[in-house]
Amino acid sequence: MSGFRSHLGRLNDEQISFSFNGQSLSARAGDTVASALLANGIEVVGRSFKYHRPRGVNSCGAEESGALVSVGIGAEQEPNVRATMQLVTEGLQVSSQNCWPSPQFDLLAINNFVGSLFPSSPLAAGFYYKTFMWPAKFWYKLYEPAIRRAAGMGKVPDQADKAAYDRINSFYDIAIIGGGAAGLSAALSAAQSGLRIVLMDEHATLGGQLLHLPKQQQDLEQWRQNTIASLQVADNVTILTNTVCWGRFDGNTLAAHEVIDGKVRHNFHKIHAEKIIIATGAIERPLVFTNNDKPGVMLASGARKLLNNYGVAAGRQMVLFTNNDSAYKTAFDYHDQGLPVAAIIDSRESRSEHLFEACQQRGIPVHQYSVVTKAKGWHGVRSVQVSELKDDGTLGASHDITCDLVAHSGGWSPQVQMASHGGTPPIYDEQITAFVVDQQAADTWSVGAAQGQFGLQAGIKQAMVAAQAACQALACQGGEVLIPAEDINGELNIEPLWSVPAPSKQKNKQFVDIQHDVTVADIGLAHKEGFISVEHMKRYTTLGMANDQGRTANVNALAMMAGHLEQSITATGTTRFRPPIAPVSLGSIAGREVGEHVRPLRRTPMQEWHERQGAVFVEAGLFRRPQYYPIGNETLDQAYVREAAHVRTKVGLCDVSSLGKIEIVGPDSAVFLDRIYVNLFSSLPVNKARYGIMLREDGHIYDDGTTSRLADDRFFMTTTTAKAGAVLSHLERCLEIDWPELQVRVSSVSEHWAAMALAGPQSRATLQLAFPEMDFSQAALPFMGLAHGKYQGSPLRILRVSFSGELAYEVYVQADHGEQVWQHIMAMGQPHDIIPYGLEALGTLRIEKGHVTGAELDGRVTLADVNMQRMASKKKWFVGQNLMQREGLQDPKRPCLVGLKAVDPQQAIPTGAILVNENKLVAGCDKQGWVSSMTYSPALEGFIALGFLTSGQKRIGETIYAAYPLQGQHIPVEVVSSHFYDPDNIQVKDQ
Amino acid sequence: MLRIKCPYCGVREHTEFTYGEDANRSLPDPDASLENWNNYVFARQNVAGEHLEYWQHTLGCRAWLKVQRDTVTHDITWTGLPHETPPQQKEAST
Ligand SMILES: [Zn+2]
Repeated sequence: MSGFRSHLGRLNDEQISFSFNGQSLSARAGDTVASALLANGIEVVGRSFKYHRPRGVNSCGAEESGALVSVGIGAEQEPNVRATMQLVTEGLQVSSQNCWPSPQFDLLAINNFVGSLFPSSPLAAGFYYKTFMWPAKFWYKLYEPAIRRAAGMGKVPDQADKAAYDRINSFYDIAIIGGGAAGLSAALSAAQSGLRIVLMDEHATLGGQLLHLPKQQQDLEQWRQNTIASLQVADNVTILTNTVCWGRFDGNTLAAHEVIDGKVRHNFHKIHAEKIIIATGAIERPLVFTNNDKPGVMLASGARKLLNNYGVAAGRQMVLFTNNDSAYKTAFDYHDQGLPVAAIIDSRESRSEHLFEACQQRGIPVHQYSVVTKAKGWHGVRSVQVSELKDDGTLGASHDITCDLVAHSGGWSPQVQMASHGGTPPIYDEQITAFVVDQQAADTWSVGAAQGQFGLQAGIKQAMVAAQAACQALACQGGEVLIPAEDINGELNIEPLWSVPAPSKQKNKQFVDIQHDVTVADIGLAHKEGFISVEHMKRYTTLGMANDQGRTANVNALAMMAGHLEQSITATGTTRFRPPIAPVSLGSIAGREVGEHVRPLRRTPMQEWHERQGAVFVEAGLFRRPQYYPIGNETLDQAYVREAAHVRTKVGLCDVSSLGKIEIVGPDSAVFLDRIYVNLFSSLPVNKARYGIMLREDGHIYDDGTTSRLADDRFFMTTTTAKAGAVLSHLERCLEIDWPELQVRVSSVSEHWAAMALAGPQSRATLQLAFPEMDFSQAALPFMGLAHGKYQGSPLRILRVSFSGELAYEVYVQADHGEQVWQHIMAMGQPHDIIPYGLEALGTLRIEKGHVTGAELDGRVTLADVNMQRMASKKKWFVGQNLMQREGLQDPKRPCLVGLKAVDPQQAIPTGAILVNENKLVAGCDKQGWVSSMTYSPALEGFIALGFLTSGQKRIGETIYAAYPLQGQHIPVEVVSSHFYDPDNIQVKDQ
Repeated sequence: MLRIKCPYCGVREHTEFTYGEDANRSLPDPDASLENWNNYVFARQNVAGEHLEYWQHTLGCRAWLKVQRDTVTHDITWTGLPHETPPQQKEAST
């Protein structure tokens, strides 16, 4: 038992209850989990990441690296929550992490002792990398299980998160990050301009370090309350508390994470601001001494805020350890509240007289030019060992002082992350021994402690000047802010102390990054192993990568690194800060786009019919297309073979509405298509269709499809499902950039038309029954002909084209009549035994026929590769014509399209298999090509495939092998023509 | 988040737009040499700094636009139609 509630601080006396590891505890409304645990005397909150050392609260803010807890249970559980940032709510369930069975008695604390037995422990710097280099069998059997059990932070909930998250886009004239004295002042000044202002602060209460002061410091408390009150009533000011601004991006965009206690758990604010004022304050740095991670060792500012804001004494007897002036206030406040301060240990050579006198008046002993070398105690601190420093840097005689709280301060680090995200590198400032970003730029200002200005009045003035400049840049006028009469002196008079001198065997107990268990020894090891860049040192040791993102660890570590390198901190430099600077829930980034809302579902006009029919669907881009329509317990393989065979003998209907459809209109349409397609379209008669291929500028095939001529100046193009959007953009690009002189307009009509393919010997008879007023005879509608009709007043386009190799038609009807027409054709086809068929059977039919799709036209193939070089017209120029003639694309040895037949017809040929000449896969055997699509062919009663084979056309009749080493398959295949079925097109054309 | 001013639609988020290509090139003559075509399709200056590029307002009016963007800072200093030139370039060329 160490901490206790001494008074109420700024809280009211409303009592609430919560639980910690199942034990019910009481708190005051406004308490954080950290203040409430300390108020209940709880010292050990959890265990550490690698060594399972006991850890407790060690700060009072975003920099917390000790008290990391899990909040909630089941699906609601959130691991690694900083106890200092989590408000207690009624019934909140909090639990410890990384310990079993309890934080007081943790069996895995053995890691700690292992760490001290070996100078380079298995979990020292770089252990991730080193253990991976062991023989694989050691890793899987020994190291990985051991490390998994031992190391880690919290547990990921094993159920889906049920909470809701929102994403909010907002626009402001001025965004102010940080609601301390500087941020409040900037907001108040800017608010008077009438511009739209947003003020963000990661804490529940505005005031920043003003909340560290005793409430009795009336002048400043009044100033804080009045300023907040003025902002709250201003209509043009939005105040976001519990909101951490975690990243600054291009175009003055800020990302902020708001924690709310309601139906929605977190909000992700994407804020666009014309001007940004960074008032993120500064964070106190720890001093690095042996066992500085023990519960009871706490940043002085944290101990001060706990006492003054939450009324919680962080211990019963304090020792203050500092290298600067600022921390003395913590000792004075504790003393003045009647809490004993055993001693102040000040590492500096020179002393600040006014502070020394203030200590004498209070009777607090001051040990000048001395250091705390070690915190002692089993779980929490029970005493410290104190030594004098000698001029040669070694330690003098030591003695112990009894205490249960070590408040320490190694100086202050301005929060430069937001400034650094903008690309401005932080610069080391010797005066305050910290990195600052001097930014008073065109649209961003850093002010107050964030800019290294620690004085209160000076910081307020600086913020006001920045706000006025921001307003002025937006042609408005910022107002004046009342400067409080009472100042806080910002002089630190700091003398750097990066780590307390210690024998080398204690350096692995001197913690630099407490959450990641990175010690002074680890930094030494990283240096010894040659990591001389700070970026490498950070990654090798994992320093600064924890929840606090290096807020407390970075500067100390850089200074130690500089020491090892025997160079200045400026020369060593700092790591670049990257978003996010604080933990952000993935849920907030996803927002409502989860589950079925991850991406939109495109539905064809016949989707509901397919669903009612029990179709099995397959994803095709944003569509879910029917893959097959099972009868009874049919498997996929049984169903597609049945469907494909049925189409060849009778008739089937397939939904092809997902095809891209583009209408091309204007007097120059034919000229335009001649340039876009490799083949000629200007010669195409009205009411005729032609298969076309378009190339990219680099000479490779881009897309294919059927385009029909509706009138002299009007064409109807279809594209593949996958390329529908890209082809439209390509056409628009050519018209607007390359040929603005062409009078052509293109519009997507993909959503306007439902499309269905009716295929099979009975397709004509079916259509004739369905649309009796139209003539489908060979004479009236020959192959590649287009007929127009009406169905219940709605226009119909019926195109005689075939993808299947059977007599076939594509029926286009206005989308709102899609399902009606589909059902009508199904009904009229009944006498001919019509069935619906899915994508799988469609694939079988086209492979039998040797038609290519995206599996073949994968962006790497040329016309010649798919044996279609003859399609290229010599009468005109087209996109891709020039580079198509490149030597590499003309190489006769290029793999080209062939058909493949399994020698044993019942042996499947896996898609993706490699084609080789050898009858087994041996080292150095030459890859001859690959298999692009395969199917079981009911027409050929065996497995067939399409593939690409070097000099393929010359190798018809050869037997080669399809190797699929992943499954140990090596299948003999015969090279055949890709036109397996009806190579002379008799079925398609001449009926 | 970049914001792009479409001459037709006004200032919009860049997520409505799609990057197209370098705007510092024009289609060679159909009879141009293979080398010219090769340079047109493959050779780029890869400028660090102000750069002209084509973007399409895909989720808006679908117009193709010319955008002057700094490839280092991502600042967009000018947008226009494909056959317009930014003001300072006009001055430089006259
Ligand atoms: Zn637009």
